[in-house]
Amino acid sequence: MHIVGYRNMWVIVMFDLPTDTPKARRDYTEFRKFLLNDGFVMMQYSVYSRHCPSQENADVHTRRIERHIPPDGEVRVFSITDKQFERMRIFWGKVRQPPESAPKQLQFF
Amino acid sequence: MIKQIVEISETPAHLRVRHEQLEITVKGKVIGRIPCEDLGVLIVDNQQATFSHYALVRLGAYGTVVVLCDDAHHPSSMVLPLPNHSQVVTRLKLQIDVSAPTKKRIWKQIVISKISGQAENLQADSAPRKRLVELARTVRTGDPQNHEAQAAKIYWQSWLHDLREQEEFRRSRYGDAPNNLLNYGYAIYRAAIARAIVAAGLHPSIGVKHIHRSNVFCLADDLVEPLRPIVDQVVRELYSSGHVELDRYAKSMILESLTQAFSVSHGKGPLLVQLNRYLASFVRCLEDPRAELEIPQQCTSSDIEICG
Repeated sequence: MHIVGYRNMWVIVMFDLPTDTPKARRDYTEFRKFLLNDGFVMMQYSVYSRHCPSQENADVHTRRIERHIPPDGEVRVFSITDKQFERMRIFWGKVRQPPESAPKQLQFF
Repeated sequence: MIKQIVEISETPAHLRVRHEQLEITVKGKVIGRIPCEDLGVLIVDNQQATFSHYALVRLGAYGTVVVLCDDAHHPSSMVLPLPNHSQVVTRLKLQIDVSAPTKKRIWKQIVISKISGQAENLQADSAPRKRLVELARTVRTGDPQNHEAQAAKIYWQSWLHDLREQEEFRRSRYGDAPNNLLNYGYAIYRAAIARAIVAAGLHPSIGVKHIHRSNVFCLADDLVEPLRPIVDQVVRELYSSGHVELDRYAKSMILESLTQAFSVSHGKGPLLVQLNRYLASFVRCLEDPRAELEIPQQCTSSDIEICG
């Protein structure tokens, strides 16, 4: 069975969280730690992404985020297919970089 | 959900877990990162690889099976999590209390499925294939006439026959190629099924047929039987195209078969996922003497449906 690009999803989380009080900073750290523990990796500051092999799995991770939303600040979550994700254009200065590729079912190191 | 399979063979990596993600590092530099949750099987086939204790503990907590290979690249041991299923005591009792007739009935179904699978691998309309079909049809409960062994003899004699007329293949653990490929394939499948057994809250050492005092994986050895012909098929294709070495290509072909589409009763999906359904039906067989064991069947390419 080949897992196709239309079924592979990426969940993207973007957030703007306050860091003005010690409590706000702790809430922020906890949220970020939760994201890492849930398999997300940082794409940019405050932008995290995670690859999911199916829509169902993407829903699971989206719901988990909903359960860990910090009390203040804004969090945006959306998911796109791997096909859409790979069309992302990434620039470092004026130089284009390839987007992260979806992990293969089978990986060799 | 379909889990990932990762093999560490080319780089003498250090494996550690940080933020619940397995980090594959070389000289302190992270070269790969996989969420523990998404990892189904981790195969380590590099004698210089090192692990942190915490990594093994965390992988265990997520139900990942870690397979360790020896210097001949043959899987030699596996780290399997202890059952932490909510019904583990009930299931264990179920396994111990299962009656002899039920065990025999389950074993009959396993043998029929194995012989049928072997028959599928032989040339259509050939005499050995017909004999295997006949043997499969006449298996009695508990297989007292040992049709399994009779079938195996016929099967291995003609397994490579249509490829090379003169060649007779001898299946043996330490034999010549493609025995090496078969060993690898069987060991991986055994690990995959052991993982499904533990995930179902069962104990891998209580089997239905295999009883060996020093074998911890009796049940895995029983339940893997019907799946062996899948490995044989892949290995035969490899061998016929000239692959005799257990290299990266051969391994990837064998491992990829775990993600092929299989069906269990109505559901279709990757084999690695279907193993859990297979085990669920095994539990039903233990609970209800009338239940049927539902063994994964290979889907034809026409009815493949993508699923996670």
